[in-house]
Amino acid sequence: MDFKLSYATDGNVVKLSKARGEPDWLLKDRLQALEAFGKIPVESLPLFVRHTDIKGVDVAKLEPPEAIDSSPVRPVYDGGDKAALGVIDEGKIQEIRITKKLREREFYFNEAVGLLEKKPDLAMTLLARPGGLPANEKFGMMSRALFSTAFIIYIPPRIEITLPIHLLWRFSEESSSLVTRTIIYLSEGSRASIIEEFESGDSKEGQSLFGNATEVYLEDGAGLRYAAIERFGDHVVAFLTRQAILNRDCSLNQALGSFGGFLCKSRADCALAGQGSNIRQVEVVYGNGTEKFDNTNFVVHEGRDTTSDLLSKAVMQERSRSALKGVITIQESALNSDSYLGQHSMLLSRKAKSTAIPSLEIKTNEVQRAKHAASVAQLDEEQLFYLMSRGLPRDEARKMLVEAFLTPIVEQVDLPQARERIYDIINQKWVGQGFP
Amino acid sequence: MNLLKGVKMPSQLDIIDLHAGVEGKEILKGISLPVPQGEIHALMGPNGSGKSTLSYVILGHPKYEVYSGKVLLDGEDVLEMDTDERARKGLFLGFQYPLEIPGVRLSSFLETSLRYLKPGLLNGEDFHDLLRDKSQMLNIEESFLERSVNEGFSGGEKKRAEVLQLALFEPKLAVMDETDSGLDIDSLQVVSSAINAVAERGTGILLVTHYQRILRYVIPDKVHVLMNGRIVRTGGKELALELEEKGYDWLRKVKG
Repeated sequence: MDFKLSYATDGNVVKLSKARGEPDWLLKDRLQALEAFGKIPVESLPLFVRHTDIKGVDVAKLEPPEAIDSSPVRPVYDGGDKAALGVIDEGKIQEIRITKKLREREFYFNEAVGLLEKKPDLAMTLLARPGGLPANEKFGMMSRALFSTAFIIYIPPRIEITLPIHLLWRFSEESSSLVTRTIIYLSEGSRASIIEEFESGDSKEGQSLFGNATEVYLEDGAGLRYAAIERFGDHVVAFLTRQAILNRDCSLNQALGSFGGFLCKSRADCALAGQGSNIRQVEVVYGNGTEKFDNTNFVVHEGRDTTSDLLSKAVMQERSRSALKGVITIQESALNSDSYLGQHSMLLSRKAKSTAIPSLEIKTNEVQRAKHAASVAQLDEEQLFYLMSRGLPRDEARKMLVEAFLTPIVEQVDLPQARERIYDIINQKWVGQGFP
Repeated sequence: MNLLKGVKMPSQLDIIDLHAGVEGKEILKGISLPVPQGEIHALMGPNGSGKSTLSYVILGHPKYEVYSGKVLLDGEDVLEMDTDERARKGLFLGFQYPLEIPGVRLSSFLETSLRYLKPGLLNGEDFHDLLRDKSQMLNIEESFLERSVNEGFSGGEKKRAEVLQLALFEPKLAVMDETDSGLDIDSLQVVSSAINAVAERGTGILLVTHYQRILRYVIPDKVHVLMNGRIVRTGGKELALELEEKGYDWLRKVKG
């Protein structure tokens, strides 16, 4: 099991970095990441190797997109139901909207290149943070080395943005490869809600590659509600890497949705570095056709009194497959932590497959709670019979059981817009698919 | 001139020489049983006699196979129908072990079911009135209806929820599988009077039971005894008392 990309060479990285007018330190960072990308295996954790499958992925010879115009786009300042909106088509920023209220603030919401000019020191902190992406994750390093677009959301100290910030990545070019980065930084005591959406058009001939790494950094006392929803067509091989670093008394309320792609490999890491920090995460995966999903979560408790609560649920129709994997690590320093990792799959056809492998690694005795749970089950025929004996047609009964499985987790999505979007996608997938 | 035009024929369940089983193993060995509308028939028998098999076969549980025979509802063979179609035709099964459906609220499940079973009958408000009436009849609190279907219900609560469905749906013919098991005496009385009320409104009841305890409150028109996949005796309500006194062994001996 190996993954190669023929354009991932030093020469191409130098060319890309120069074309974007990047400083030397950023090129150096890219080249280091490129080296790591070459060395790290597709799955670095032995426990998960058997449950990682990139068979059929055929993207090695894809070309990167033509040089993307990376100049920041002039924002439009207006009202609306979002604090900010960014639309990025094929890596090119098309539209930036920001509410007038945020105009006066130090808020930055644009291509990274703009920040390199305006505030080089801040840009360096954000773009070249050591450990900003997991050191053992190949595809995070791919993004860090090869990104042709980087979007930065910087939120100044002690402001509270109640309306959601929305970032929409569209990618539908045939047989091409697009690698990007998102960096989210909340300064001390600030609060925000951010929705990141990834989508492509319908299936096409051949495969395309989309890579994105989202780095989230929360300074002391910051709170973020974040949702990332992916809906790629069957031609897209997607690698989504996310890492959040939480300092003292931070909270991250996160929702992840995986809904399409030839293969969508998602890895989400969270470091609870500061005392009293906490993450709550819900993850929904829904597959049909021959879609494949690989969803891995890592949480590391470092600070004391830290809390993690992660729940993933997958519904697989037809021949789709999913692997839910995760490890919660409780370091010796993380006294009095509370952690939970639950991973559950429902299979709607005999040919659908899923695995769920949550695990714990505990290095201290002083733990309040450390728990994991997993299940993989076919739709229950007895429950189906019960509902049908009450007059519900088979399809309606199946739908009721799937909704019963998913609704409690979708209801926990803290961002109403993201919640509605997830419900819409689930309904579309259900209706579009018919009933296997 | 058709004198019968507009006159509703009474519903009747007719089981005719039914042979059925699981994985090629015959459990029901030729059962014939008519249950007319509004009558209460008790089907009694020891464990393993085929009582639950018969209940499941009538509703078309996928695990069971029918080898020969017919199950007619108003003269129409239901064996070719899917379970949901049988339900919409007017068959109901009160489960011995009702299934838990976490995440589905009981009240919305009942509303959805009723929409299929009695299309066009009710709008939302009428439904809630009806549900309140029937719940009161069964001493079911409103908060109970907001819980997930059967999840975390006690044995008695599950059975009362089954009888609540019976009362709401008012099917043509209900098979009540061991509805009495696991009920304390108070619940037994509540459940029995609800069953009687439903029968008075025209539902035929096939009351499947191991013991004759419930038959003190739900007086059957007929009692059938099922043993080893066959109906070995049919009689009036006194047959239940006789069984109570003498035990099933008595009939085993009689039948040799």
